[in-house]
Amino acid sequence: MVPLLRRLVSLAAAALLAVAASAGQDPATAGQAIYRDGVRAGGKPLVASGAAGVTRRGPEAACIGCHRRSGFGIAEGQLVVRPITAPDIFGSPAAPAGNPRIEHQLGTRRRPVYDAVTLARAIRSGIDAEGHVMHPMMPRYDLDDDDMAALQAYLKTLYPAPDPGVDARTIRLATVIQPGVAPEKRRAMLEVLQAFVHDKNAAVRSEPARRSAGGMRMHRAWRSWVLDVWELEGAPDSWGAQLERFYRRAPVFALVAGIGSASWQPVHDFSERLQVPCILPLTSLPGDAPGFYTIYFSRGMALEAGAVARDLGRLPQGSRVLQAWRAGDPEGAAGARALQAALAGTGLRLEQRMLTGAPETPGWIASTGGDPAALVLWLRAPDLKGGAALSMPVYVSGTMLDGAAPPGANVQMAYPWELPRQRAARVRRSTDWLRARGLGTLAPQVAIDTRFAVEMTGEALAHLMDSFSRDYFVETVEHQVSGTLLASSYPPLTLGPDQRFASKGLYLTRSAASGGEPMAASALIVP
Amino acid sequence: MKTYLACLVLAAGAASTGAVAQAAPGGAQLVRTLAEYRVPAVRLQRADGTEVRLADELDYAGPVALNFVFTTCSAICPIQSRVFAELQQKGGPGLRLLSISLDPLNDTPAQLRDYGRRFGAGNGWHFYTGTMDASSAAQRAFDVYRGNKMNHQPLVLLRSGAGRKWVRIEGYASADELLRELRAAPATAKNTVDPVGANTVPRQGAGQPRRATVEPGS
Repeated sequence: MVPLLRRLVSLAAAALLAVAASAGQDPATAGQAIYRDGVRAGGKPLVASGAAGVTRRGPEAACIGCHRRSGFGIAEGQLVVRPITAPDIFGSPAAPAGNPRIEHQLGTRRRPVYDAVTLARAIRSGIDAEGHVMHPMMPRYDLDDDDMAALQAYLKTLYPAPDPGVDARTIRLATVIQPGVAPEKRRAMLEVLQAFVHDKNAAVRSEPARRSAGGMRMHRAWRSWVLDVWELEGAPDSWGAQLERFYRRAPVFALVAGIGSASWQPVHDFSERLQVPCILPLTSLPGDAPGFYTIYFSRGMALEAGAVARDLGRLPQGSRVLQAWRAGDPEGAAGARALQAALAGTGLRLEQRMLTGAPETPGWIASTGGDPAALVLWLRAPDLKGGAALSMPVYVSGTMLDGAAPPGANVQMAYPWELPRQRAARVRRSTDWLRARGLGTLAPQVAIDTRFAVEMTGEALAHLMDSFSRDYFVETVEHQVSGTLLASSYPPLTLGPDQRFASKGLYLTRSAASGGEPMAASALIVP
Repeated sequence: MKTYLACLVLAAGAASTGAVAQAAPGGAQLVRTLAEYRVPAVRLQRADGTEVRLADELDYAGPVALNFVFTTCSAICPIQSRVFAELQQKGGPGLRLLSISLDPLNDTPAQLRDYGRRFGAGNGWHFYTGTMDASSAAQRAFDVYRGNKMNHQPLVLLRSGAGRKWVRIEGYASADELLRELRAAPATAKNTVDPVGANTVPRQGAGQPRRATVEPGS
């Protein structure tokens, strides 16, 4: 009787797979479309019924909503969605590192593994491997045999083994440095990263012995960190190949911090292509293609332009706005481009001027045809001399001036950081840490934000325990960024599913003629 | 092998008794509470860009349904918003629905307008954002503040008319269940004893509401 049953079950599984193969498409690819997008074979929307009597369709019914891209699930309030990775569901030979996350977190609450038949029953009817009815938040899916086989084929690809960059003793990380970064900023970032790694590795203990001593709460993934420094050179269009060479030489689990003064796009694209997370690079020029793997502090110059555009909205319709930037300055050009996009259709007349000569005097403004209603200067200090003599509203960039705006009641700076006084209190933990190591004087903002990026990376890695899935790592950063004890130099950071810019707003500030710190001229603006 | 056998038997059992799924264990029940909340002097921004006072938005003679959501939530909120959409359709034009963002820095008015369109929100369903402090104050006032938006829970607050008590429903209530609640006798009628701080039914994982009676879920 029992052998016959076994045979029946395996026949049923084989039949499911055969049906999928006949559909012509790679079943795992078709399954991914179901899992991530809620799209069944032939483009039909996935349909599911479940909690609150709601019928969910298409993307709202997709598995990814609760199980997430990684398959490691979520914990939202009382809703806990357990991992459904291949080792968790099918009990296939787990990762070489094992899956102590399950053993230590769930203890004896382990469920039997699924096979093709019991899994189909769970997905269609909500009966789990032990025969219990599942919570209605697990929807009941109306899937035919082809779609079911495809989805199961995809589930078998979810985290079958740890991602590269981790072995039993070490976690390898890298930080990317673009050419042309100011030497003191480059050094400030590197010194903080290296000090953090030094301390962390000094603290790695004989964790395996402790694991067996104390049950589930004792488990923590202690590994030494190895930090590689990937220094890019030459033109941006060669950076992608350089990054791939670095990566092939020694694959890293993730990129931490990193610094640049040109667009982050080539690094962003590398991260998407090789699925290598990049946590909080110090850049004001984030990649603009949608992506999963890079988490940024903010939208940078685009955020500044958005806030300036919001403030310009107070001008009467038809007012003339003049903006300027210097040729060859990527931050200035990005600010100007973003402002142009933000002002499109607002009824303001935007004129632009790209400066190419030696540092200009205010005379160039007169040469543009009279005083504009407002002036937006995506310029650095040498180009701003004499700006205070102007009488119309002038906007300048905090990023480009390192927070030091020329004084003047008419000059407002787009200030992407937390206001100085509040910031000093919030970053106290970081500054104490830095001071104790003789750091943080070179480029304080860089040091504080690097400290935050590496702290976030460390906290998320610890949370993974031994489940070294890069997707789960990114989701964990997403979840934890607003809860960490340290603060960055930015206004409070928050992320949520698929949010990739942690700081959402900025202030407009003014600087007093007597000097001193910038003072708020606005509440936090979230464009 | 025993596993296979057990599963097949149970699968047959489940297939023959459709009622099993209704008796879903593990948190599928609703917890219904009567409560009074003091609305703080909070200014919010409505998705149409208007600055409003929460108290004014709640100052409405007709029935009101209130929930807390955020637009990038992919698990609980889409269901809550589908329920509100259905509730609005079935509840008629006199029903006012309010959804306050738990993630006000991300949920700009434009973001909330898109979200409302996605769920087919009609005229009487308003979405609100504001500063972090304002959103937190609104959350605290209705005892839904959990420190972090990711700790939120499925919850709807109903008030059948001005001056009535709030009915707090925790769990995955359907639109029909909410509608029945709104159309039931006024909430004050059953609540003859004012059990301040008493008579609360323990439940797991959430703080006890103060000044509230708890009645069994329907």
